[in-house]
Amino acid sequence: MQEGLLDTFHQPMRTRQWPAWILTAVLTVSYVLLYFGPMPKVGITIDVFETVAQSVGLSSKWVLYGLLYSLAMTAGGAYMLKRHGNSPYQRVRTIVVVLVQIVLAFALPIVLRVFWNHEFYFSYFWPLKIEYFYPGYILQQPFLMIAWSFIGSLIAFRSSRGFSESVSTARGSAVAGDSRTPRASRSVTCPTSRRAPGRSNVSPSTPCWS
Amino acid sequence: VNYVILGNGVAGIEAAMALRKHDARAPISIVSAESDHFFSRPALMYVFAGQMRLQDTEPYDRGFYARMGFERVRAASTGVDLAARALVLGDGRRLAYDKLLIACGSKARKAPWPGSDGPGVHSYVTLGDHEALDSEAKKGQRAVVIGGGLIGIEIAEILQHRGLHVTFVIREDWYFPLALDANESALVAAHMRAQGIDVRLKQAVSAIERSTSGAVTGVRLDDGSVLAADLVTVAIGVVPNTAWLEGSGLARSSAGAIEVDEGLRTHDPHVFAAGDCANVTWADGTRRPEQLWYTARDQGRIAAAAMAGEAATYQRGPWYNSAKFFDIEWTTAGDVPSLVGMDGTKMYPPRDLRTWFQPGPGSGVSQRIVCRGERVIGFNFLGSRFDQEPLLRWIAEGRPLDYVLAHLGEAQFDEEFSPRFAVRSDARLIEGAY
Repeated sequence: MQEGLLDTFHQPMRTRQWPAWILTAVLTVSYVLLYFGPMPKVGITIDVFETVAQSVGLSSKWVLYGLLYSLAMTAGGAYMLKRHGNSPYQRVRTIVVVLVQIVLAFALPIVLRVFWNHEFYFSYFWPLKIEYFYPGYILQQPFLMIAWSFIGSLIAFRSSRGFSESVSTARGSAVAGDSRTPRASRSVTCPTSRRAPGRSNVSPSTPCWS
Repeated sequence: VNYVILGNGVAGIEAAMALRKHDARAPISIVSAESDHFFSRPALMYVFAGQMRLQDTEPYDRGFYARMGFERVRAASTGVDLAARALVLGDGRRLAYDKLLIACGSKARKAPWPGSDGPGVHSYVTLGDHEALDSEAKKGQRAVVIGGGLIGIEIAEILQHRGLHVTFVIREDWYFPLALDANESALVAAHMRAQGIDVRLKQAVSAIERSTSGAVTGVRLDDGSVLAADLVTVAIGVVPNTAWLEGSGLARSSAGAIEVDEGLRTHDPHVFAAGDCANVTWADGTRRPEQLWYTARDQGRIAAAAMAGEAATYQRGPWYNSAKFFDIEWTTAGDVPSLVGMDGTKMYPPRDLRTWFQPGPGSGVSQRIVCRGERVIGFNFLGSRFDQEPLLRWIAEGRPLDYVLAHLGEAQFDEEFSPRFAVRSDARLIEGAY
């Protein structure tokens, strides 16, 4: 069953009802505590995350955060596979996303530090941090890291080009297969646009002429 | 010219828009008992499935009627006075018209069995049907879905997903014989069963059983067995929603559809009909209503042209359709002979056909191509996505099977990593339709 396509609007967590608001509040508070640490002005004198990290034997709160983030990604990936795993595309991309998080974002910096006593966080790629593109900075990195990043960027460029081509092909040629039958019909289309774009079921409600 | 359009569906709205384009000032009234806002009826199932809210299925913004100068009349119609040119409304009002378009659509075919009337027995066509079923279907209930078509399988899927125990009762030898052959239907039935649906083929219903308090308790089958049920959904097709025209003098077919000519004009020069309620001529020459979204849209436009006094001819293009059986996608284009007629009678397809078929790759996937002589005339695909445009072009160009098989991969638009179409060793070419 294509569970991912059913039930969205029956789930409180996904329709801005109270469980969603509670989750929002918890996440917001957690991030404030994580980034701002002790805040004596509001009566928080300890760095909560740092304390928890130390008590479970982790080197810093950032390792704890990375661990929690990786666990959340893994759980999310499992959920995603349950809901959308009938599609090979969704399987591949979910597994890739989870592995990138676990291997590159979480584990590799730790491994690097163990072997080279040097950290490198892949989560701060350009354009988030332009300094990473300065030759002076790049040359400070381990050679393997430079080689990996260079090759990796080529792969990323190639695959994103391939993806956009295939999307435009599918969109350009998709027929508006309208029918009485629900959920397959690309049914709600602007009357002046004869072709519904690809698989989308509802085009934005734009006035078609005035 | 005072235009009155009965029906707030796709045929009515398309007609209203075309009339407004033709005449910026003419009064246009849209009468509907069902809803204030035009929504996409095929998308109503998405609302039931929880994928959308009702307002997400509205193709236009809520300011649409005011901006376009359409006056909405929220009322049921009880008759039409042809001599006085007035639509008679349920609240006693009479709405005068110069040109009237009747686009009042379909309603569910009534369940014919004893015990069908009363609570707990549902259908799924109108917004009211949706609201009733949506509010009553509760987790843990036993549901029986009757009818082997598109609405039936979607209701079964959604109820199952909601946590009801679903039995799907199908009268025919296999699911959806109108569009699927025995091989294809077996794939779909296996998929349904794998999801936990209890599929009963070749089972005719004889009665809906009720307790003394009137609640549904079960569905009795022809063989005497009873399927326990808390909730019954009947999806055995639709009929034109035209009973209210009784005595009006407008000619209707034996099935109740309003008789129209190729310009969608009734015999009364001031009255037109479009969409599900209009009896039109099909490509094969038969006359019956076309219960499809895209033909209702086209008919609305043609009817508007005729109402505005322009030459207008409704010509049905080639058949195409797509749907989903759970997550098995179905694409059809062109002439794929059916072994069962619209009314359930056995059909005997022409003998000069050849059928190419291969199952796979994987489960729930198959390709069927129908040929007449050397020319390909129809396609039926399960489990992968094919663009209907090149398919219909190849049919129009009279391409032979070899050509089509060599190019079919170009029409496929599945997601990345999905298996690509290829002719495999288990492909068969069979004389006749099967």
